[in-house]
Amino acid sequence: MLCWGREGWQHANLFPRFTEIHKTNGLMAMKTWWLVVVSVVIAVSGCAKEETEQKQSLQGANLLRVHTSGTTKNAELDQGPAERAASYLRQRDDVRDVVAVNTGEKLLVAYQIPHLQRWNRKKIEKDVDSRLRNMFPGYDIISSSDLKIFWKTKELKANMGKRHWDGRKVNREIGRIKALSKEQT
Amino acid sequence: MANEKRKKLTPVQQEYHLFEKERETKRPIVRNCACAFLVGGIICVIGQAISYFYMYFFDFTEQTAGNPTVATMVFLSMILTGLGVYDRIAQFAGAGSAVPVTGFGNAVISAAIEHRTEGFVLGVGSNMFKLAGSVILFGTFAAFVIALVKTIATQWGGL
Repeated sequence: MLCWGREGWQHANLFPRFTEIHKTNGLMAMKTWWLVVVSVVIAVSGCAKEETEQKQSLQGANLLRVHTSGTTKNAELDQGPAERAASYLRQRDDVRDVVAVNTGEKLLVAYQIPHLQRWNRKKIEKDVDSRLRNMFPGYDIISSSDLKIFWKTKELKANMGKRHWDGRKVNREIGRIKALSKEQT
Repeated sequence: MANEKRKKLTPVQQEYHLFEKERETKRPIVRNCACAFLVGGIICVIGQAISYFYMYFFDFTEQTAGNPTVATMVFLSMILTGLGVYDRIAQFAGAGSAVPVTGFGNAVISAAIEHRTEGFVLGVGSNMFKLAGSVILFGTFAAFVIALVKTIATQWGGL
């Protein structure tokens, strides 16, 4: 194929040799870095799900070593069952930290297991769940030792205190957290 | 060499074996272990940080954050292999960089680069999983065997 070049009409080099492309090292390095940046951006952006996630993040909190009072005392909903559940779990040696929230029909309890007790994680989860079910038979119990569920419950608890969320809104949020805790993929 | 094998050797061969044993370069096993431990640990810390990143900014739980974390680590090691950085890390760390999942990415891409000159189909395509293929095969097989053992233990063993 002919094309107009520096020396008039000449054959176009449609398939330049590998070495020719690499003549300018600076340009190549820049290309490589662009490739890296673009690849990372594409890889990470694929994981975005909801816009609301950014808004609800716990900015500035020490997420790994949190110590909470357990429940919201100034919330409009009666948090008696949640407080009882939290105080029971706090007595246990195999639970490090607890946060609990309840509405009229649902009780959400998130807790953390000490690092070395994680060998018995499944056993502890099963035991905690069955004991909570016995303690609060009228409630739909959602209990989890997952760190993400713990963060989410803590956030919900904070919002209940600050924004005075009503039962319907809290129920909806608990439903979301429950769905998240059941997520397998 | 094992003692039974050495007994079968001729006296000359045995003599040569001792001669060679005295002169061969000693492997710095303790140093290698320390390097592998250090670099392997650093890779794991990076993996943990990525896992927390996915949990914090996206809708992943502790259980589900593992999948994107593994994908990201493999992807990063592939890029580092392409840039020639991972080879240097591997020279220093040895098993510390080969055993974590990043070693899998390195095995795939290094084989692809090596056979690039043979073309895309018969070169890259057929040789890409030359090293990593065994990881996939034995990984799948081991998972199958463990699942079988677990099924038998839970269904009939009463565990």
